Amino acid sequence: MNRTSRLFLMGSGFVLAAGLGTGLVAFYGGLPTLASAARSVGPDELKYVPEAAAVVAYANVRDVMNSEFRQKIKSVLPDGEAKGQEEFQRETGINIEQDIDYVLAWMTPGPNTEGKGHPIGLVLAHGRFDTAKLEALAISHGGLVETIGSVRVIRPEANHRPDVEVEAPQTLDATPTVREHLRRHPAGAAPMVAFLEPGLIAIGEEATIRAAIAHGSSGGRSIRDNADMANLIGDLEGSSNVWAVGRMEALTKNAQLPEPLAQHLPAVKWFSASSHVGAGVSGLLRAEARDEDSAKNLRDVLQGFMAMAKLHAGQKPELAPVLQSLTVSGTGTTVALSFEVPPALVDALIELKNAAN
Amino acid sequence: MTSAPAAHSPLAGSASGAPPALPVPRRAPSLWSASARIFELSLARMLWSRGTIFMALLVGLPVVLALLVRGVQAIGAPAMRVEGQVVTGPTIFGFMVWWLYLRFIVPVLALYYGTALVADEVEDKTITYLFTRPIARGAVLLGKFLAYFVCTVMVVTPSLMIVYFLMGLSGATLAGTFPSLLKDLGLVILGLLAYGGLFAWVGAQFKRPLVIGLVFVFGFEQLALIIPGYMRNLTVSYYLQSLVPHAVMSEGVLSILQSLVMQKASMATAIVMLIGIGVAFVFLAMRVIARREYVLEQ
Repeated sequence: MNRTSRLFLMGSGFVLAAGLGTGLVAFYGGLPTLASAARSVGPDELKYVPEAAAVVAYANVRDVMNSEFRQKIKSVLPDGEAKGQEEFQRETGINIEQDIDYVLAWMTPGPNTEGKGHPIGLVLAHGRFDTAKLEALAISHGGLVETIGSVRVIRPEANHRPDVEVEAPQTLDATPTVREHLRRHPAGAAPMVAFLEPGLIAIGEEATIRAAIAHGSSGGRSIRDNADMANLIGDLEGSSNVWAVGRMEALTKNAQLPEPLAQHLPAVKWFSASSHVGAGVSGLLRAEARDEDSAKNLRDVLQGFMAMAKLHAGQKPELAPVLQSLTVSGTGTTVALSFEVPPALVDALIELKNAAN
Repeated sequence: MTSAPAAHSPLAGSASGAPPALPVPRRAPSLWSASARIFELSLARMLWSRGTIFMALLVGLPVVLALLVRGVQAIGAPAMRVEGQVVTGPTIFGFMVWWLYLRFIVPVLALYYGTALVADEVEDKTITYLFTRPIARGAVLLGKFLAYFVCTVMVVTPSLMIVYFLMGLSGATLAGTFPSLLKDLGLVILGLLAYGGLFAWVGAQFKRPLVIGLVFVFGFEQLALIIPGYMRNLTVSYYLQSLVPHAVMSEGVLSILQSLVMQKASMATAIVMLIGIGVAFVFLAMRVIARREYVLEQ
């Protein structure tokens, strides 16, 4: 064998060995979130979402508000909605159509072992907010403006303070978990608004707000360190302007679902729902089942529901294209249900509404 | 100890007046050592032959595609969607493994190199030189087959590895997808073994092996996979398909149609069959080359 061939084989062997070595190290725990490290998934505000959050949802409000679909819908909406928006803007200085870029929210079931009871969560809104106006509004309604760490917060009313006195974290470097806070501050805590960063407000209960403030300052572990959730978010990012991902059991524990569906949902580990609102609307609901059999059963149940829906489509022919676009797909442990409302259908529905008026 | 060589020396007899002893004839090398020599000779020829550019183009295609996809992602273009479903990096990787590597690159490389193992020597009229060596004819084929196998494995698997790192990580963690990468590498190796063995036999047995191979891969196999019944058991692709870890076909009506006709062999059956096909056809090819008289056209 000549030198060139030997060099070539050594090069190939090196590529293989390097790839396999990296993979092996990652597989046995050395690089568990290489992908996450290489590319930070989702909006920056995910750093305020705790690692244990069960559901995370995101809506690009600006995208949706500017979409062709929204403009069409707006043209047929009653004037009442516009007046409500104007009043809201007068009071708060926030123009919902223009001032809010996106909203991120997370939720997790109650802190007891069954996950029952009072769920906890936080809503984060990114945009342009007139802090002074909002503070003045709060004070005029009997609210209080305080500072936690370096973050200004608004409490709704002095007499709405929680029964249990809230303790500030000893130091902002500490990263108390939300669960810890809730153990100390049970259900019923009053909601508050915090100006976490310029252009970012958080709305939630005091305990979760305090946890978010402490978490944001310390830069502790967040939902991005949860590999499963980070993967789900990464898969949806850039392709949809509204999405939600999470653990299915977090949703189904207290939900009243149809019996055939409820029977199969415990077999679902993860779900993701996403939608793209543009000229039309398309959506995808994806579930990751525990095993292939469960996924197959769930696909069969969904096919049954779809067949029923299509059967009834005769009564509402205008919805037939949407029902026809419903597709159940997926292989292995994945189940996916997608739909599409094409722009032409939106126009047709608006025309129908106008004709009815 | 020191007297032993003298006893066997040709001069030993003359010194004592006895007729000189004939040199001991060298024993023909065993099948394996002969194959090893042929392997060494053939490997360099295969790596740097006229087919090198062809092979580089084939295995470079998925790498270029992966780079393009990554480039598109990097400039922030919206993700690709099929029927509303987001097509993620790992999905594209799974698609590439099945449609590009296992359904195209592996069979085509095996066809190109496998059929050429004997046919090229016949065409170049160099097979005589190999057959006049004091080695078993079967060793010629076995050595050349091993060279083909090492050459293609060392070219295709690094390409797959590069594509994996370019594509597979854009939505999933390395740790999570690593086991399926190992399966993909195993599948490529099994595919090269099975197709390579089959086409080595085709090349040794038939006069126009390339045509027969093309008809088999792009005609018979495609058809047999969608015909209900046992026909698919006669294809290599069926056993490869049974082992593919990715969701390669999952969309709408096509998915339903394919699920109706799609059957899978068990993992053990598929692995045994793929190894069996490779080994059996190499053995058959060795038998053919050992018995067949190749007439070189002038």
